[in-house]
Amino acid sequence: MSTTAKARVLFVDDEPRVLTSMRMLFRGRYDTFFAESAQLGIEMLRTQPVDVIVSDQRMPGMSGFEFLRAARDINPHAMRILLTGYSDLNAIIGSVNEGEIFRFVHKPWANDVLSSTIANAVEAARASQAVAQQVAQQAAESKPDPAEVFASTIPLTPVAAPAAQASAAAAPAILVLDDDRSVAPRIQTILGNAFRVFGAASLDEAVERLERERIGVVISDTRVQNQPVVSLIGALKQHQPELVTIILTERADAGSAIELINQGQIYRLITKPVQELTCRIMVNSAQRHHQQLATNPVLHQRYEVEKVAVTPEAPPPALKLLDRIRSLRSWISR
Amino acid sequence: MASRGRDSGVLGGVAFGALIAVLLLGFLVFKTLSFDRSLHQQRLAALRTIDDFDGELNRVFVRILSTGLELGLEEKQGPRLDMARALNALQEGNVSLAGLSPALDAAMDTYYDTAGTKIRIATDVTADQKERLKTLIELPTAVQLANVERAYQAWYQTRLEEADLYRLILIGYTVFLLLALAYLGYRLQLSYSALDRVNRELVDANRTLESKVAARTKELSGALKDLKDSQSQLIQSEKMASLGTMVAGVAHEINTPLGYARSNAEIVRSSLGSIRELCAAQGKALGLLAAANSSEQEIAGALAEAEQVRESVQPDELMGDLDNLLGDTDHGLVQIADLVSSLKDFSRVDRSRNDLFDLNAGIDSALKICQNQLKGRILVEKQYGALPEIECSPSQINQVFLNLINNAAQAIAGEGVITIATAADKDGVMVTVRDTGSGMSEAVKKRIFEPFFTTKPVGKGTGLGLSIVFRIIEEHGGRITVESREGAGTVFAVHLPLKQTKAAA
Repeated sequence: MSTTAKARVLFVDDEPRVLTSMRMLFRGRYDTFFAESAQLGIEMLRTQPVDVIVSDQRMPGMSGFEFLRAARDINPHAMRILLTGYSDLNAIIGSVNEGEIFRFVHKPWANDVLSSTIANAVEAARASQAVAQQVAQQAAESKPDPAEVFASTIPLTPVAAPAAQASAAAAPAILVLDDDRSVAPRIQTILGNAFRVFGAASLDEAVERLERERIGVVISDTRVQNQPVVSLIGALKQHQPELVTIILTERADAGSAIELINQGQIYRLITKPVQELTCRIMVNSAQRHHQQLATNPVLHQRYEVEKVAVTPEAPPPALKLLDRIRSLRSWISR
Repeated sequence: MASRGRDSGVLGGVAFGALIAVLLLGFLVFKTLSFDRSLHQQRLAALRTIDDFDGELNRVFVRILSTGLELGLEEKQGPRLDMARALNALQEGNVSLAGLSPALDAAMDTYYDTAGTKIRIATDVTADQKERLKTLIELPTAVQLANVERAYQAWYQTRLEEADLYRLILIGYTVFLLLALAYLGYRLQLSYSALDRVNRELVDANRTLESKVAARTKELSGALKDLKDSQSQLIQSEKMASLGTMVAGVAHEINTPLGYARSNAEIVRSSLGSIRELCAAQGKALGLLAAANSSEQEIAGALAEAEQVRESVQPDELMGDLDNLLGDTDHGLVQIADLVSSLKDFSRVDRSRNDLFDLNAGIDSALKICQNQLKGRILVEKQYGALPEIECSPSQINQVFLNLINNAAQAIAGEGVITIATAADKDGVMVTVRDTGSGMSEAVKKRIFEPFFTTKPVGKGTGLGLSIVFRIIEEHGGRITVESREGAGTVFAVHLPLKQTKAAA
């Protein structure tokens, strides 16, 4: 759904020369706006919405991630990109959990990486806007549709999803992927009868389970059997975009968090030990998000992941898994 | 104390008991021995003697009576006097029988009466007083003397029996004492052997104590070494931690200009393509114009083409922009160079420990490093006086200022001012770092230089920063003081001497 108007992109950084450079780089391609502080950025967003927001993390006053969190409330449709050179772990985890960042871009950035990232963001933004328009139109034309509720708070805040498609007769299923087999039962205890929790301690087991059950939410550690899960999550997200992933790990580090966002578009990142209340809230929120994604395939573009480049070092099992994952789609009818 | 009292009580009791025993023994011995046999014989002898004299006197009187002759004075007086003397002796001499027993006394009284009468009469009786002489002879002195002797013997017998009894008692008592002594000896033996045992144990314990102490000392010195190691490790990790924070800040400071410098260079490079295109089109048109054989049409076409390219490229604007971008790039690269130079200045590893150093420059380099923390919210006011160069270790002094400035920045939540003033005085330089931060209470201020003391939440600070600062200043022979008011701010004042005394390395 492309429009003839150029996409609107807002750049926020406290160093004016950076903004100058961005202006030169994207001149002609987008309608560009610039703000030298988070505060100015917020004021700008209030007057006119944009499609994509690119912000630096380390700024005096309000930090990048705080700004993007505020931006989410003011301009929910905009895709959010965070430039990070200084890996403040807390900020990154926070931005994953609260800011719904589309991508992290490392500083200093390479122009081509930044360009392609913004281009992807623009496409995704367009996609979700189209859906919103469609829904609004339907609401105006026809009888009120439960889906109209969808319009104003597009997928970012947990919302009662349309009852029709997503509800299954049985309790929704969740997959827990962790070397430690005691995690799955513990989560089952916390969630009670509201969900069915399946455990898996290897990537193979996980895919097996995904083949057999219709899973909406995956809770996973960062590494299983000494293999990083990011490639699995990324592959799953590519072929089953309505899957929602929560990362539950003892060792959170900025590098893997950034990777998981960029390649897996993970929904949340929480640290062990798992707190009851946090777990319930996050799983419920993830389930709702899953239902939204399931009913609106076009939304998938908002949560598109970077195509995983299968490097020579990727272990063969991963390749086999990818094949199986590709075939998953045919198994699952929606 | 109780045992001492008990011991002295026992001791007293024993002494008292011993005294009684000895007294009893003495008494018994005395009783046994006071029995003097020789005296007895003497008394008996005395009695015999008296008997003899009496007999002799009687013979005298018998002779007088029988012969009717007057005896000579000596013959009469002799025995009479002897007897009188012997009687006296018996009465009063050392063989006296007087007072030994009532029966004896009675017998003696009777005898003495009679004997006294006899002697008296004997004094003046003459040969013709035959009746008197008969009476005299018949005076029962012998019988009475025998009575006396009997009474005396009876007394002596009782005395004998008494002495036997006492002897028996004495023997029994001696046996008892010997038994008691044996018992005491036995007890003594026991306590001696107990003492020996305890003594041996003590010697053993003493010996093992020495070895235990040695082992404990080794443990302790091992533990002390571990503690010292971990202390230096902690100090090292504090340095690393603060270094880490500093490095992160510096990395960001470098990344930013690096980012746009790189981006700009790329933009310029990609723009070169358009410019090349323009030059080519213009060149082609010029070439055609200059050539003799070009047609008008060709020239017009080329010119139009060139014009078109020019329209799309907008060279004037583009050149202006590219110029700007390269200018920015240059600025960024200069910033990076500056920062690297500051880092070098700050670390000062290429300088010696006792070097002449300008503190104002040092503070400036520290400020550059901290810039990231201060930018935008904290205003830094510099009030530098003219300072002489002082002898110090520049890297350490820079570390001091970095720490103080960092602390000041962290004390200020939100916006504030840090004022740094320097001034020279007669024996060195004085630097004050004042902030408008939260200040400290009196209790906190007292402990602020304590190692491991921190007001930051757990895991945020090691609490070693200011203690290291204190140590550095101490090693330089300087002073550091702090004034603070809660809610108003804090001032750290550092004084450093001009010269360092040559201390042992």
